[in-house]
Amino acid sequence: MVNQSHTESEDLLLQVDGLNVWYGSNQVVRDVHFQLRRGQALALIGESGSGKSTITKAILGLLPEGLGHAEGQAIFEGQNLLKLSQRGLRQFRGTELGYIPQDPGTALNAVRTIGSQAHEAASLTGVTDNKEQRQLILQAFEQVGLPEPQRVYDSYPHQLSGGMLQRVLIALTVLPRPALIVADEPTSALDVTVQKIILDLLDELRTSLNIGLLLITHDLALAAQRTDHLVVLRQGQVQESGTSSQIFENPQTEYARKLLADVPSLNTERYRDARGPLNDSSAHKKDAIYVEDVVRHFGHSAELVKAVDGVSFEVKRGSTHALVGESGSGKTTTVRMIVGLETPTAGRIFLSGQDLTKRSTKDWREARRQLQLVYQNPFASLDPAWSVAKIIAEPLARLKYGSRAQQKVRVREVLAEVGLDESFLSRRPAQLSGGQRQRVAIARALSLRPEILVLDEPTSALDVSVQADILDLLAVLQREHSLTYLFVSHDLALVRQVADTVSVMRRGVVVESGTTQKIFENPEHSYTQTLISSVPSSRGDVTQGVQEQSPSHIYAGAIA
Amino acid sequence: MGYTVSVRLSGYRNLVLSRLGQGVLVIFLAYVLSFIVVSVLPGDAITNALHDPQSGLSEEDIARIVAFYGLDKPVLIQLLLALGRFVTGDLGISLQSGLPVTDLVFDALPSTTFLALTALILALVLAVAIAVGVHLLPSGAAGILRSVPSFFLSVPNFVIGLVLISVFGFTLHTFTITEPNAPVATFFAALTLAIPVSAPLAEVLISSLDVEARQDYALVARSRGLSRVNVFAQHLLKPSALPSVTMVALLIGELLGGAVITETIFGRNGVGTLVQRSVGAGDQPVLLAVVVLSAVVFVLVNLIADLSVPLLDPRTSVTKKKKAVVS
Repeated sequence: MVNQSHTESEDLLLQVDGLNVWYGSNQVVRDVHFQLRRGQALALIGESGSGKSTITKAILGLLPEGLGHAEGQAIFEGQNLLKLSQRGLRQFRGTELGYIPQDPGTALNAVRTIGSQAHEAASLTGVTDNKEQRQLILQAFEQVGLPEPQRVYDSYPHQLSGGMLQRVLIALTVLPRPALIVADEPTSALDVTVQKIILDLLDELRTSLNIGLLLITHDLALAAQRTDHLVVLRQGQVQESGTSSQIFENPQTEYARKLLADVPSLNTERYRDARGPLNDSSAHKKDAIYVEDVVRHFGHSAELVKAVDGVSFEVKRGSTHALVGESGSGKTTTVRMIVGLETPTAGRIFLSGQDLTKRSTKDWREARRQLQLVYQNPFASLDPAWSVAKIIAEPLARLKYGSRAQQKVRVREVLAEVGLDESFLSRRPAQLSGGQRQRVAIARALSLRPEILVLDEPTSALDVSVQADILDLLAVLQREHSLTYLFVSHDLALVRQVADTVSVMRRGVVVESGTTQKIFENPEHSYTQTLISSVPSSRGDVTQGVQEQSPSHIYAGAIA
Repeated sequence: MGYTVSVRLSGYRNLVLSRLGQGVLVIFLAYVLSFIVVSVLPGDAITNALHDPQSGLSEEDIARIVAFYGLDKPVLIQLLLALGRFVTGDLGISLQSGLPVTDLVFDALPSTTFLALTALILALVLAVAIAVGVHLLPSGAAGILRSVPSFFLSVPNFVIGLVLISVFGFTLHTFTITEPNAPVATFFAALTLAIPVSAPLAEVLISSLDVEARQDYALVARSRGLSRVNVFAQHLLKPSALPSVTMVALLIGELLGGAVITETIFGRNGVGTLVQRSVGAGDQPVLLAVVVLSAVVFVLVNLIADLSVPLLDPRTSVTKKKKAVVS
């Protein structure tokens, strides 16, 4: 896409050529090039470590001082941004170059009101009068669909939800009418329904104000849906670039093909063949998990929070049940009750026919053996000071499984099952990649031969290709050991791939439940419909093309 | 989609009441503990002091003091008597001079208060100057400045005092040590006290500035075209100052302890010298009074700090009636 057309050169907003970035002596970006036209959207796609965020920081001159160093060209309005001093860059920042950060929760100063920070943006418009500035701010808030702009103006950041804060940040970025907005994963910290609203808003502002959008994302489906051009990055280098439809219909590189194949929303049937259909639809207390009218309230009468308010579902042995919901839906509290970290206010929970709510402390040991938990974030769930061998052996030692020698044998066994060789035994978590860490976490959970695994967003902290590897592994393990999975997730595309049955939770109640096929193809509740339609999926024809070409490497057992 | 949540005003009132209660309890316990330490010390110190020929007290004086303290009664009764006097504000009579302890303490107090406050202000100025320098100076100078607090902390208070006296008092004649209450002499005494106190404060400020500077909002503020100085002054300073408020309150103890040494070195009359004389003479009622006074000051300052943090930090929402927008 270099030198596409000379006639459009007036529309050319940003031209990046030969961009190299170093952190110290470590080169993290190599010879990156792309161009962006006014009013268009371009996505930089890549996994963590691909250099996509570094590229945008280099363009904005926001690399950490003294550490980061950029060379090459980033021509914007006739000037090479990389050669400008901080003072020189300041004339562009805010006024011409807008920046929307990843996590709206940390992007505003917590001890200042939103209004006081908004004036920083408003003063970039050239308006100096305080009242006029405020008028502009309130208008901008209204433009991005914030209810009660005045109250938002008076609020502190912690008083608004993540979605509202991201609207505030977009409003402040758009307020001085910049020509280019750089958005660094602007929706990855938000719930899926909010995500759609924010992206729609960005699209609308981009077309109506003729702004160029440089979108950084790891989500290919989102990039395909929202941008005109894609640049696929890997380890700081451009793998492939072109129009979005080109790349989706006919990816040229092996890497792009693999990336596309790993995106859950583009490959909904990926694990379908691996499992048989569920015939028995009746609920029994003998099921692996049977939850009956469980209630959990917090606080006192005046400020009662009904975190879980009458939830029932059951999970058949050997199947995968997904608990789906946005933040605040009560899914985490429900899981905490099942694993015994929380006591239900009312209701009953059965594990393999045994009433968990009536258990004595001694029985809890047996329950723990039967049911293990894999946590969301493998970067936080492993003790950094422990070796892999010690981490995996911990539950064995705790529940006095056999002799020392038997425990050692079991550790090796289970490590092999998750696809890691014995050289890992002596390593510490810091020496492992994210995928390897999650494998160790799974090995730890499996060491006691549990029947049920509770998987709390097990892949949300991982890159999409690593996520695919972990899901492959989980599918194999489930088949071999007829494990029952309770899968907690906010990622509907992922759920569609892996779950047999689904319960959709909202505000502490299950609004809809059923087989995955029924929920996704024929959702009855309006909330479920909204959730499903919010998932960024591809344009239909593109999806077909991808599926036909996707290499079938399921269960390849590649080590993350 | 927004509804309001109002935080009750009573939240803050409850906080004030519970902190006040805790403060009173601490002062009471400090008094009882000091009393017990004084009473169980070997060799009946009060009687020794009274019968010291140098005390210059007549037999009648001694009889009066013995009766006043109930020294012929069991320790528990003595404690109850002392507590009874304490709550009415009567701190007893000095064994050394026969003067009421209240008078002695209140005579010494203004000089020490002035010294301590001057030192506190100097310490704040020093700490802020160091922290600002570390963050805004070029990296070379900032690196040197970064090591200043640990240097300050490693030099004992009395060494600083002696160095300042020998350099500015004897060599440069900036002040004369025979006039310890002159403004310049007071300044150097306060500086002696301020230097070690400023060090932990500067450390806390520097590290919270480091943390805040790494936050996303600092980057976003820069992307809005703010200069480094503006980001520092408008964004980083306030959140970084919050932990320092608690630190200042804790350093008051350091200030009080340092005052004893500083006043002795600079020959100032104050609570510090009163303590020094009383320790030498075993004048226990005075010591007890100073301990309790220190406890009161410490408790009060920490109370103020505890109560002001929620007012300064909007995230601790006990502050005032607020409306939160939730979606």
